[in-house]
Amino acid sequence: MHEVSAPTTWLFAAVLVAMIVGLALEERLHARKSMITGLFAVVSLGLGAAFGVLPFGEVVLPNGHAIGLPVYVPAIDWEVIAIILGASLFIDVVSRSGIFSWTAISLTRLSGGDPLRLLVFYAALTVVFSALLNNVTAMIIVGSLTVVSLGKLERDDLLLGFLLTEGLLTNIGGLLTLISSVPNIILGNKAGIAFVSFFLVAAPYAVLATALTLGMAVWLFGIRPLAAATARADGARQVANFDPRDGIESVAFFKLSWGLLAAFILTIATTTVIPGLRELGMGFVAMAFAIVAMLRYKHEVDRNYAALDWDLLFFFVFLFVVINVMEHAGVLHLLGEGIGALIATGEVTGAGLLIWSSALASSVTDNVPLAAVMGTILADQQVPTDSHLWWATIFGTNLGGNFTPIGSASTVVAVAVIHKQGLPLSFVGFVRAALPFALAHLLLATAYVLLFLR
Amino acid sequence: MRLDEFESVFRSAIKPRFTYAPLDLGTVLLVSDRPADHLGERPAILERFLGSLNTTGSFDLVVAAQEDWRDVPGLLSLVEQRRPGLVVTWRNLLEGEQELPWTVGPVVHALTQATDIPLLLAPAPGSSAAGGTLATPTRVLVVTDHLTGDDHLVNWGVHFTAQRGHLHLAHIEERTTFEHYMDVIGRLPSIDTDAARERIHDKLLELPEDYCISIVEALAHHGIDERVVSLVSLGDPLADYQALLEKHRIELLVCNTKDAGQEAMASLAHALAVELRRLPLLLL
Repeated sequence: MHEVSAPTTWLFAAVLVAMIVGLALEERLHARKSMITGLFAVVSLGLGAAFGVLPFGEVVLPNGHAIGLPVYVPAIDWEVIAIILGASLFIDVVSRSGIFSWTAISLTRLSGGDPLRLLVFYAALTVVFSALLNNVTAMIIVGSLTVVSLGKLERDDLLLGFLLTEGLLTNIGGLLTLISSVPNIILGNKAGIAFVSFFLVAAPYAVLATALTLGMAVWLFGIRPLAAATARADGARQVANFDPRDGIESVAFFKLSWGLLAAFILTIATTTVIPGLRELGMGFVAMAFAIVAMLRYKHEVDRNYAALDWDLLFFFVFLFVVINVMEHAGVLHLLGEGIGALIATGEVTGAGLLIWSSALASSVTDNVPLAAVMGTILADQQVPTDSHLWWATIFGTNLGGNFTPIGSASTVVAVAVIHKQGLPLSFVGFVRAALPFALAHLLLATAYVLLFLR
Repeated sequence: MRLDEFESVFRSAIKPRFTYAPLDLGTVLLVSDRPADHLGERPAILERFLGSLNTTGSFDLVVAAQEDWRDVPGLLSLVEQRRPGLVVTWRNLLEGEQELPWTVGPVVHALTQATDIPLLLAPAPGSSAAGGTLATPTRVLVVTDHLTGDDHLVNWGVHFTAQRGHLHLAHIEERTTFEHYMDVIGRLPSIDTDAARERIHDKLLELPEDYCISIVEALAHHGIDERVVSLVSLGDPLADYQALLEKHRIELLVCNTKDAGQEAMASLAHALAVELRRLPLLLL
């Protein structure tokens, strides 16, 4: 740690706050996330060099060799980047086999066109897809299926309730595994939580929160089962028109994709206990599966590369650079003192405050910088892996997104789907509709962390 | 955002499936501009023809001869009063076919547009080819611009085809319209023209082909022994339908007269009805 003067630290803190405000105003600025963090990465590095806070010099490798690297290269958490890059490529390739659309359409047919059963199935799909893919892709798949199927059933009156419920559930599903959301990847890696341990802790909460959300949605949005036999027969006839095989180009690749997906989950789950893989890490596993899956389209991999969310990847790259500069400038130490004071209020109060403050902070801005900052602070304070404070932060950063339409990328998508269908939903309208759900999720999380994880 | 991509995936998965429905004709109205005692064998021929069809229940044949109606409003009033399940008549009622060979005549025109009752248009009484008779058709052609989902049209075709006969289902996408859109797409730099041509062409024809498959499945499920022949392509509808009629030696043509593309019977149905004077037509 360099000696950094207080005014310098405050100057860099102001830069960090400006970046967070910029991210919160992303839509109004008409600028993509990567552009905002990229600009602040350039400014931070420039100021860091000018104020002499950056540790220029050679980097010492584990084998003792020292090599010259630009200061911003080791600033990036390449494991996180490799996981996101590999998992995105892998999921994009296997999704082209039609396994996700097949699952979604098969469940639609199984519902018999009954709105209540449809809501339950789509809720389960949202949670599972959010856990396996990412919450944005899950919302896109389930949201678009909802639009098409409710349109086919001539139940557009239920569209708003369905889409809101699914948007909120993406953040519940995002809690399910270590790789389900970026905050999980960042915080889980910093804490050293294994994939299986993460799942065993998060799964009971995800199940409870999903059931609670469904119950509230049925009550608040008035979603009722079909009572009349003729209506049930008509509903069944309508959904029978969906052909789940339509998106399957190759039956062989369809079957192979199921096998690959199962192997991927199994390997990711056991990475920390398999010698060799343990050292190579989950990023290697994700990239290896991506390469194997892409063999199917080896002559047109540029299509897979084009499907990547480059804005998201560069957002993380630049964000890690900014966070690293802030660390050298003493900003994270300053924030850590504040968090330390919060934690020091007591085991119960401290964890409770951590959940709610993380949630409120992530409700108005992106939860990824928050997770990156919090992860670094908690790691610096040597909070043990099994501490409930890690979980308080994980729950808070994930669930805060449900308070506002800009709280998470998936709620932004949910609102985009709603607006695309011409349904009126303002910022305040979303907050009013989502508030009972978000409060219930956080109260449940607080009770869960304090009663079972402390 | 890939929202539109997934919406397309799911919309593409919606495949309208044919639902078979039995046909009960109830009352059949035979409309003629001749006096009742000049109808000759026609009621008996019609009765034999209808009796041989694949319909459920019995039917009552009612004759509306010259003395039962005077003009078009009178006939429409009679039809409204009787509410038959099928009207059977000829072209150019109240006028000689020789005088106006380019039209089906105002009576037929009014019957197809002012009522929703299917009309079986028999060959002209003097037609040598038809010989004034009606045989159970073994080769039926169902034509439409929008085959997919038109269960009503197909069901009539099914019931008017003899057991073990051939039910031809034609869906001709208009090539000139397709080329017009391809020309526009070719001017948009953001769209790969060759890929768009191939994929739009395939998707346009895939839907009716899938629908034909569901018809085959439904008929087999109901034990109906007819061979379904799918004739789906891109081309010039009128010319192609005429070519198909000759190629497949069609004995009955079934088409809509009231869907969006055939308003006031001014489009395809009218053109076919005028051109094909020697072929029985079932106009829905």
